[in-house]
Amino acid sequence: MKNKLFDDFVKGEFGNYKPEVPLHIWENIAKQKENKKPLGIWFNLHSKKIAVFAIATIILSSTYYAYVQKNKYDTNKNTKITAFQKLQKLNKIHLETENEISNNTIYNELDSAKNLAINIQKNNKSTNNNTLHTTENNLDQTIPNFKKQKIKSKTNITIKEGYLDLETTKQVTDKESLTSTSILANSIIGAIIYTSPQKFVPKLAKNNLPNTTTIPCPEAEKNTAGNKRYVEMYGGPDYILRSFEDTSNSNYLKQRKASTGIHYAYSAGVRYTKVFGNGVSFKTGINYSQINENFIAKDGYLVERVYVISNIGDTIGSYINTIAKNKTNTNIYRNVDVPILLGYELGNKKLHTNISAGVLVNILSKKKGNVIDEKGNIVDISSDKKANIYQYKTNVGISFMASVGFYYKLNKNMHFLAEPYFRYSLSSITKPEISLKQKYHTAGVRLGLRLDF
Amino acid sequence: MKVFKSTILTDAELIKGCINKDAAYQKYLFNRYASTLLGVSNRYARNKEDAEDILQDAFVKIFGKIQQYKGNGSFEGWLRRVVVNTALKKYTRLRFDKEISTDDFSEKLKIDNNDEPAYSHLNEKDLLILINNLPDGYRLVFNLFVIEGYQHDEIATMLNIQSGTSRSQLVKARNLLQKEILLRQRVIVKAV
Repeated sequence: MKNKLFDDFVKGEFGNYKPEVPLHIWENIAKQKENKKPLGIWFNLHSKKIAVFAIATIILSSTYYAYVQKNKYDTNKNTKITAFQKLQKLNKIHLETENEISNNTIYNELDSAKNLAINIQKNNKSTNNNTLHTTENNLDQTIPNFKKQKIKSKTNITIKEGYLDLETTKQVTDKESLTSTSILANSIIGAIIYTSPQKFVPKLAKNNLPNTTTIPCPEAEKNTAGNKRYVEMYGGPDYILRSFEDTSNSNYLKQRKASTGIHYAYSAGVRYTKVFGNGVSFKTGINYSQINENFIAKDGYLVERVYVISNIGDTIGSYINTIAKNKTNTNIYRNVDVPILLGYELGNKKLHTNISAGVLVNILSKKKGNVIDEKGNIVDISSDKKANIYQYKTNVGISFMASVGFYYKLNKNMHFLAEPYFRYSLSSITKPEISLKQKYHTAGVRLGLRLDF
Repeated sequence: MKVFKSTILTDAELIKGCINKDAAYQKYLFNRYASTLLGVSNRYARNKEDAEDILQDAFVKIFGKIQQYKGNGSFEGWLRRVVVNTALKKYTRLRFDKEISTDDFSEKLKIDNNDEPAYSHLNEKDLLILINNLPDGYRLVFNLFVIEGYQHDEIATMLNIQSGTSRSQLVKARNLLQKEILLRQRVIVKAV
């Protein structure tokens, strides 16, 4: 046996060797691809459209949030900024740092403040209304007195015609009487705050700054959405947008489309909503949705033989009539999902608006009914029936959802809820083994109640 | 909705679709080449199950690294190389070395040099069974040299062995195959 001959023979035998490929290989590959997807990514970003849509939504939401925040800031900026508010802010800054300072440092700083106040007085000899009354002596008394005082105060700092105007009102909380020195001390603090807040106030604030009462939040603001928890119950009709794709068999796609049509759909659910102080909201709960679809397909033929009978009763002929037999039923697609939504809520005493976006994580998907296979035969897709490749997935993964909720206050603890929403399914409900990809996107309006607790 | 413009896609279209991780294109690629590539993996594997595993792993690699195909050479050739490399990885060098050292093929088979070769009656399935039964090292070298057309130097690099080893493995593989063919022929004669 010559080697060359043998080699050529073997090569020739395998030249066109194409064994049949078992179906399960593709199934395994598809599963392996699914498993390779990173866990942290909820979105299936294979589709550029989805990625762009998601990014655009995030950008729009962020921009809107920033815009709302800026408006709030601008409003605040236009109001008279009180020293108290400054103190409060600086106190906060200081408390975040854990640096301790000694009393000596405070005294040094007060000395500096004293000098500063004297200079201010010298420069502004004419004093208006209740401004500074400062002398070397009473400044010296100020420092010890200041340490003893427990004062609630409110100091307004403004500049009037080039003068520093420190308007201080105070309330003595201990038994010591209000002295001019303490007024002066507060004035000095005011000067320090005004002239060099970053350098002095954070350190002073922790030790001996007067206790101050906060200005109560206006009732209207307080009653807006901020910092509350709600339970919401809702339900409503849905409009279904079907999406079919078939990469290899357009005839089958046509048949599938023709054999089914949306009948009706609805969704309902219960969810917990937390609205934080800054208006940001978080929603989660359980959402049930159902799509009912009409199915109609040819289910064999009914063959009739028709006999033609004459007037006198004789059979004069016959013919065969073939009638297509249709099978009709309702396909039911049920989904149970967990919504995870982030949003922003704003409103007044009567009406709130909440803009949310997020994901619906499917935890169960059940189907009941029939579809036609590629050969036109009717196949039962019911989830509890014998497995076949035309059955749908039992978990349809992640959907993207965006909604705008309107809440009308009915009474102290209850709002009426109306929420238009849109749900975009990221993955197909069909199994990867078949080339036809089927998705259901949903738009709808939910109506319900929101309970405040 | 996406529908392919034509029912027959070119390799370039397929590659582009697969680079975009489009499942439909991936499926299309699989349908087009799976059979050919299973033929390749069948020759390198010990059995049917191994061959399917190799094909599966190879396709996962293909989908993950298809952007590395730069258009040099035929696309099918590139796919075959991925399958071959996957098979080579599966049968490690450790096993390969062990087989070389333990198998004794000192017995030289004497086969008649008739006009009609003894193997002429064999078909691809019979041959495949014989090749699958070869020790891993022999089978790999035999496939790489006889079917894929690699030279001993290339095989040596691929398998991280000496080129002399590759030559000796090929000779032993051929001898073993021819021996098996003769044995089968004898069985057939007896049966008649």
